[in-house]
Amino acid sequence: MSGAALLTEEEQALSVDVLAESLNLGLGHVIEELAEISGSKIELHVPEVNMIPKQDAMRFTDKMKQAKKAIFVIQEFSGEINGEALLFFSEKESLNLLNGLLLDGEEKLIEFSTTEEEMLLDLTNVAVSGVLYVLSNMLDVKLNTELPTCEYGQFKDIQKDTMLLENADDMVLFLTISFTVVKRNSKAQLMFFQPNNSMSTLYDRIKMRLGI
Amino acid sequence: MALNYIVADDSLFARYFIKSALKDIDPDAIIHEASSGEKVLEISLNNDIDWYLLDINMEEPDGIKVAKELIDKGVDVAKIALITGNKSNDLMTQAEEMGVAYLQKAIGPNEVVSFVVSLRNFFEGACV
Repeated sequence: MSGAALLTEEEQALSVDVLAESLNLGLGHVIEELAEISGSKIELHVPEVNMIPKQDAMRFTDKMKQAKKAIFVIQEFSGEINGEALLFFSEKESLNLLNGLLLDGEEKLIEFSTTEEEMLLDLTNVAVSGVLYVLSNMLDVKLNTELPTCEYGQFKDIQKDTMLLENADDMVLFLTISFTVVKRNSKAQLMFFQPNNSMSTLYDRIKMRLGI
Repeated sequence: MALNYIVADDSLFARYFIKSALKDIDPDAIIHEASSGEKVLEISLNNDIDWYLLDINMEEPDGIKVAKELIDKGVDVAKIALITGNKSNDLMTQAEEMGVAYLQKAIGPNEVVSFVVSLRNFFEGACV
């Protein structure tokens, strides 16, 4: 049975609320740092956070199939709550994001290669670590992150390599985070975050924290 | 007489902590909760609100836009605080330009005390 299925609707809503808030605050800090580095104002839009059936999450990947080339960045975390952040971008979105963060005068990136992969891994590491830092502080839990790995290529090949959502619960946490680098009007969307079998543990920690 | 407060944040968890801090300071507080900027404006139309505690990053209108609208409607700027977890220079500048207070949200258990202090300072007019 999945961790999420053990929770009532209300408990699930509160758990999702806490994750959304940690995402908001964690990414807020990260984006502020990126804004300083890139010298551009970055607007973080309110993240959308939902628990959805795994099949619905898989259907979302149709968008990626249309984009053909895609980049998946996967980062595991462990501790009192275990899970995996799985971010994906179309090639166009990833270049758009990275170009937005370049300083004025720096040469624009036109294709995804090793340098861009390193930039995206760094960015993911900083973003996921920022979110988990806030979550661990909010709930007073210990969390460790592994280094992220990156897969790049045709969507159908990547899907096989990464065994997308294979270990996920029946319900997965599905996030859409978008932000705009104002100076260059470049937008990026990051998606997916799946706490494996962790929703019940998460809710227990929330109850302890709220004293309920 | 009990004072009326609006606590606006799209996160239930965040509202819980702000309410809890508020009750520490003013046990008789009448707290109106809002999960969006639109709800803040709706509540303020129908109630005599003494203090506004607004999260910045909410569904449109966000906290900054709501604060501007409230000021335009004649609400005293000293009665409005923007509460956020983001240490953004840009947001701080916007808050300063409007003349409203800008308070850091408590994230972890260790930050609750400092949040209560900054909230108390705000109510006493010390951090505007």
